[in-house]
Amino acid sequence: MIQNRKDFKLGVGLAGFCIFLLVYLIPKQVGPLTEADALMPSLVTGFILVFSLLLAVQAIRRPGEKEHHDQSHSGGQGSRWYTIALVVVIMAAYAWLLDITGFVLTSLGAMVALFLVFGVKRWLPIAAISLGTLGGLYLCFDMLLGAPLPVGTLVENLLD
Amino acid sequence: MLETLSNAASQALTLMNFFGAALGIFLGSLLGAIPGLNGTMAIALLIPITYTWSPLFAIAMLVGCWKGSVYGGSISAILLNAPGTPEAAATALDGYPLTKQGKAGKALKMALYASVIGAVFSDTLLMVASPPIAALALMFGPAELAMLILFALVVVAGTGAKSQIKGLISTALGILLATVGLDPMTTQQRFTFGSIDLDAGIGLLAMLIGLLVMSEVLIQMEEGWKDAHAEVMVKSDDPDASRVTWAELKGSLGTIFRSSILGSFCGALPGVGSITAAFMGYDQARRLSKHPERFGKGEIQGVAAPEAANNAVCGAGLIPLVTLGIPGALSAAVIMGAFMIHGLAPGPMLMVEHPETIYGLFMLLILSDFFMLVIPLPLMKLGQWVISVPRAYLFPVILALCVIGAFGTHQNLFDVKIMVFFGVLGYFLKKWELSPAALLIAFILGPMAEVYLRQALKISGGDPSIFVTKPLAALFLALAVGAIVWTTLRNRRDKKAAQGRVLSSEPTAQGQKVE
Repeated sequence: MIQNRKDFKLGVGLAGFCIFLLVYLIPKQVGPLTEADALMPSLVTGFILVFSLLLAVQAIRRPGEKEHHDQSHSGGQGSRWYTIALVVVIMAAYAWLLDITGFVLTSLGAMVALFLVFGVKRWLPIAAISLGTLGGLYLCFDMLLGAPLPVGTLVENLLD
Repeated sequence: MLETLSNAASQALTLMNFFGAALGIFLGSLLGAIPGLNGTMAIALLIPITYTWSPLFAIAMLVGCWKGSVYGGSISAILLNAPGTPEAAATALDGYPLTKQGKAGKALKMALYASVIGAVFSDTLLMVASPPIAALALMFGPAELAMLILFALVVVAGTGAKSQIKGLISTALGILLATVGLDPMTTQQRFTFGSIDLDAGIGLLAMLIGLLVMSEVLIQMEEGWKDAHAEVMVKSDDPDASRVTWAELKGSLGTIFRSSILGSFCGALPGVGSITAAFMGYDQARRLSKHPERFGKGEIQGVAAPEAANNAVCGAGLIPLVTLGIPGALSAAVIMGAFMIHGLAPGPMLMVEHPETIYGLFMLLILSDFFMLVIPLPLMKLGQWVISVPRAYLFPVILALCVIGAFGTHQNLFDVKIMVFFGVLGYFLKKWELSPAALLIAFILGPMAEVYLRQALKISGGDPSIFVTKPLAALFLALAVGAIVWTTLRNRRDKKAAQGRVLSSEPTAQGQKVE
C-alpha cells in the first residue's frame, strides 16, 4: 500500500520525464549524451531521475503530512480551483492578446475581469483602480523610461 | 585604495543616488507592511522599472527596498499580529502584546531603532569583509569554483522545500532550465525547439516574476486569505507609551548587538535566511534575559532582538553575492538578477572590474540605513490604513504589474508568456512542496556551475579526479556531501521527535494520555 500517493505520483512522473529527456529530448535537442554540450543536461537529468525514484520509494513507506489534511477538505476548495483556473486563463489571454489589442485595451479588459473574479462588484473602485494603474504604468514605462508599451496590431491597423 | 574610495564616493554620494536609496526604503516599508506582499516580490516587481537607470541608483534603490520591506513587515506584525513578511513573525510575539497594552508607538520605534543598528552593523561588516574574501576567491580555479557552487547549491536546496529530496530535485530542475538556450562554451542550441526567442535562454526577470509573484497570488487564492482589519488601537495616557526611553534603549543595546552578530552570521551563510535569524535573535534575548517570563507578554527586548537580527541579514547576505557570486537567500538571488541586468556579474572579479561601483554601493547602503530612521516614521501613522488594503483590490494590480514588468525589460512579448508559464509552474511547484526559491537560485548559478565544471574537466583532460585531488575543491565537495548527510540525519531526528510528540498526545485505550 502506498503511504503518500501525492509524492509517489510526483516521483514516478518526474522519473518518466527524465527518461523521456535522456532517451529522446536531449539527443534530439542537444546532441549525443557523450558530447560536451550534453554533459550538464544529462548529468542533471540523471540526478533528478535518481532523486525522483528515491522520492517514489520513500512515498511507499512514509505517510505524508498532506494526507491527513486531505481528509478534512473544506467545502470551498472546488470553487477556489475554479477561480484559480479563471485567473490563469485571464492571464494567458492577457499575454497572448497584448500583441493584438495592445496595452491599453488588453490591460483594461484583463483588470476588470480580474476584479470581477476576485469578487469586487462596485464599478467605481474597479474603474478608478484600473485606470489609475494603467495611467501610472503608461506614464512610468512609456513616458519616463522610454520603454514603449505595445500598441497592438489591431489598434495600429485601425489608426492607420 | 584611497583613490578608489574617493572615486567611489564621488560616484555614489550624489543627490540622485540618495533619492534612489530613500525611494527604495519608502517603497519597501510600504509594500512590506501589506500582508501578502513581501520584500522579494516587491524587488521583483521593481527591477523592470530600474532597467534604464544607472547601476548604482538602481541597486541602491532595490537593496533599500529589501531593507525597508524587512522593517515594513514589522508594522503589521506589531499592529495586527499579522506579519507582513515571514521574518517579522518573531516580532509579533511581543510586538502585538505591546499594542494591546497601548504601547504600539513604543514597539514600532524600538523595531525601527533595532533595525537601523542591525543594518549598520551588517553593512559595515559587508564593507570590511568583502575585499579579503574576494581576494581569496580570486585564487580559486575552475575546479574549486565548481565545487564551491555545488556546496552552495546543496545548502540552498534546503530553502523552502518540504524535504531534502524535494529541495535537491528543485535545485536540479533549476540547473536543467538554465541549460535552455545557446551553450555558454560552444554556442550550440539546446532545448530551443527552433524558437529564436529561446536562443538567449529563459528570461531571468520573466521567470523570477512568474515564480515569485504570480504563483504567490495563485497560492494565496487557494489557501484563502483573511484580510487584515486594523483594530482601534488602545490609547494610553502614559507619555512614554509611544516613545522609547533612553533607559529602554540602553537596556536593549546588548541584545541588539548580539542579535546583529547572529543576523550577520545567518546572512553570510547560504540558505539560512532571515526567518531563522529573527527566531534565533529572539531566543537568545529570552534565554539571556533576567526576566525571561516577560517574553511573549510585551517585552520590549522581544521586539528589538528579532528586528536587529532580520535586518542584519540584508547587508551580510550580500557578502557571498559580491565576493563569490553566490546568493545566500532568495532576496539576494533577486538582487543578483538586478546586478546581472545592469551588466555587473557578481563574483570575485566584480571588485576588480567595478571597484568604484561596489564601494559606492557599500557607502550608499550605510547611508540608506540612516534614511531608515526618518522615512518609515510617517508610515507608522499610515500603517493602519496601508495594511488594511483588501487583497481583492491588490491582486489585480499586482497581476497587471507582473505582465508589464515582464514585458518592460526587453520589450519582448515572449517574456510575458514565459512569466505566465512560470507563474503556473510555480503554483504547482508549491503545491507539490518543491521549492521555487531553490529552483531560482540554481537557475542563476547553473550557467556558472556548468562553465567551471567543463573548464575544470578540460584542464584535467576529462579526468573527474581533479575535484578530489585539488585540496580546496575536495574540501568543498566534502562539505557538500557533509551538508547532505547532516540534513538527512537532522530531518530523520526531527521526524522521530514529531512522531513522538503525536504519540504522546494521543489518548490510550483507557482514555488516558501517555506521558
